[in-house]
Amino acid sequence: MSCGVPGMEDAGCLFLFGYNPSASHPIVSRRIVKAKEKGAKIIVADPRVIETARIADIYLPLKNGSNIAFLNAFANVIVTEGLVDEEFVKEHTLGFDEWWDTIKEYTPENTQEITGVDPQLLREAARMYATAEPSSILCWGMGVCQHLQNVEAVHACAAIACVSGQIGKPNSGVAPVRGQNNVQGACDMGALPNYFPGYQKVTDPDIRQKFADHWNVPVEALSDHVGYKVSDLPRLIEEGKIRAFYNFGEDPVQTEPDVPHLTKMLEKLDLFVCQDIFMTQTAAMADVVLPATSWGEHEGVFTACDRTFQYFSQAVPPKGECKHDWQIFSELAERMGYDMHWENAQQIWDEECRALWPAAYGATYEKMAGTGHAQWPIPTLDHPGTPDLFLGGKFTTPEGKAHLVAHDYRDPTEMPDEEFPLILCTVREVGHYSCRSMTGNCKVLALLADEPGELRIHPDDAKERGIRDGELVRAWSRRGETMSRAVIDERVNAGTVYMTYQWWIGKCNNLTLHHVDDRSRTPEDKFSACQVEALPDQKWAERHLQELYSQLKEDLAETAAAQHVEPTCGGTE
Amino acid sequence: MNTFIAIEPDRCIGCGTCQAACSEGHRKAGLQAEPRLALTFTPQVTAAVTCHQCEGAPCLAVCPVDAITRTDVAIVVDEQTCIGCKLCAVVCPFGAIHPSGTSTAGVAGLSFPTPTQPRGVSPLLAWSIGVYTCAVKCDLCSTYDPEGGPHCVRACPTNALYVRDVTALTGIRKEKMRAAAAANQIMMNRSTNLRRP
Repeated sequence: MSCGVPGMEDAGCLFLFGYNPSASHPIVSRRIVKAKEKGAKIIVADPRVIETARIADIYLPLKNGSNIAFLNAFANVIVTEGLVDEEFVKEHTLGFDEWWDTIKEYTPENTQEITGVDPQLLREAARMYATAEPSSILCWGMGVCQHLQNVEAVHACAAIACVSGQIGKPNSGVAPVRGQNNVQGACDMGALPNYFPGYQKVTDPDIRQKFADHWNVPVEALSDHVGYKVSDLPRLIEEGKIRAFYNFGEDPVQTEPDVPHLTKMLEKLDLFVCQDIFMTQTAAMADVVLPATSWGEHEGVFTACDRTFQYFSQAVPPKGECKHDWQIFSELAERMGYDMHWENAQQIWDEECRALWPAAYGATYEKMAGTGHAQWPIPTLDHPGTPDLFLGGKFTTPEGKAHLVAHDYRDPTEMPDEEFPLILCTVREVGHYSCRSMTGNCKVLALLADEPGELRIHPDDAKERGIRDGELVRAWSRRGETMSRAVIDERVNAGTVYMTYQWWIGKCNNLTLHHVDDRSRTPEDKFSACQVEALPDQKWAERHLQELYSQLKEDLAETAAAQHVEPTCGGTE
Repeated sequence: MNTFIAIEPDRCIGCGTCQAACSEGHRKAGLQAEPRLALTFTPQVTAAVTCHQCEGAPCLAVCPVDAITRTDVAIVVDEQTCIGCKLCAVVCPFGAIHPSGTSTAGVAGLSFPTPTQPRGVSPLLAWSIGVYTCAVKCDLCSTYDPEGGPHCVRACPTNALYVRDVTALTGIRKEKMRAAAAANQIMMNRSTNLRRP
């Protein structure tokens, strides 16, 4: 994010595009409610009437998968209606003319068939966004990132912010709100195939030398090319390029698309190591399970989506054989012949993160003590942190200017047809976190939402199929099938059904398409074709559901039992 | 004068934190874990709906076993006395009462629940083998945490829930009367922008 989350309250306009904060980030949603009460204009573009759409000044119900057509038309309005910040474009951007060559072809009128959005409403929204004082923020979420044209849409969003001059000043710019807790931190720490910690490129020889010197290894020991991405795993196993997989804190058998295929591929591995805090379905498949500690059992630093470092402390001691992630890694390294030794998490923070990443040097434990925080870039010890990036239009490209890039619209990969007439879009719900391994055992949360999850369907689509509210249904696609509970919902658009991805029995990823884009290799989770039918014997279905769920829980508990050892501390003697 | 919980729908984000807090509080006190608030969604409105603690509470009037009583704070159900007849749920004008029971799964030799009907069935008609139900309704948390006040209100992340008591309502009434007075001015073709000298 180019702005801070608290600063969202003080923007003049918030434009939410493919982002449902009430489900994915209630804390951000709270800021949006406050912004509205402080007088901010709210624009929402989403196929569903999301919570924020109810309080929006303009709600644009666009069709699923039409992002690029919509954004190009939005940009077109900014130019044709004279809303461009000419000075900002001249001083701080490159490539306006080539960008306009593409954008000029997309008008609100000629894209209406693709986007389904009323041209007049789109024009009003573009005017509202571009002219808002003191600033506008363009927020997006997985509704941008999990489409075929995801990187393209990010380019489009960034260009819209630049040409309208809604970036480079306080509380403005672009807010891609990260999907999960500390996913920003994982990227910060180099859990990416192309970066060392702190976004320092593995392909840069000077950077490699710096890390080699610090880690006391020959520079040749550090890979000089970009590695694989997790979404390529099944393909690479199939091609025989990957034979061992070390899975750390993920449940891909739940969260990756086309699970039936992925499962088959994981079975082919020679070695499968899984490091997790619970016996997930993925961990149950592993050859070796390394039990790690949960967030309550260790200390560390999380990075929020707006680059804010926050310290969290250990609440309870680890149980049984569990070890901290960093202990497991250093013990493995030592067995592999490299001396990796730390005393505690703070030492890693100071010696590995702050020492090697100049932008984080000022983020000391002292600053983060209590409820303190530090927001990077924070390069020196007396630096206050940086809520707003690119102030004064200073960008981080070699030229210091923003590159405007435009792309043409393409249809999503798997369009609905006669056999699979419904679009399946995977979304989030507020009660359960990510793959549910952490929240699934919580009684209160299970009371509010439990297996097999929900399939949200428009009343017309439900009526056509004889599906009644609350009934169990069968959903299937070219990949596989699943059982879910239909919720007839007037807030969703006809022709699309929405499922959340954390249910074990109602696993929507049995249906999703595994198609990734060329640049980011992100799966197209928001768009695949499926069909839904009513289940004739509801009583049987309800019992069958309970049997399946109980059996799965029992199997996982049994697999986990092998690891169970009594805690060595305590005792009465 | 009775006290009840009200909601500002424009602040509600439908997150269910109120339900979680309600459930957790009552469960820990040994009461039914079922949330006393229901989230209701229409295309225009999202709101948690719960008991209004009616002055002439119909639920209290119809209870055949006097399981529902009026305390100084709220209208409360004694879960032990309730026979699960559902009369109160039928007469409630806000749909704020429904029956709930504790599943026998895991205690009666059954390892998992055995549903006896589709989940879509109204909670008024639903039943399960061996499950004894009783009415649950909002007690403003007065039966187990009178000092702490309603747990849902303090849990709400957007401050959408309010305790409406005599003070708050008197204030609102004054506001309404002021607005009515202003409307009279307009009806009489007079300016409402009169400034104090």
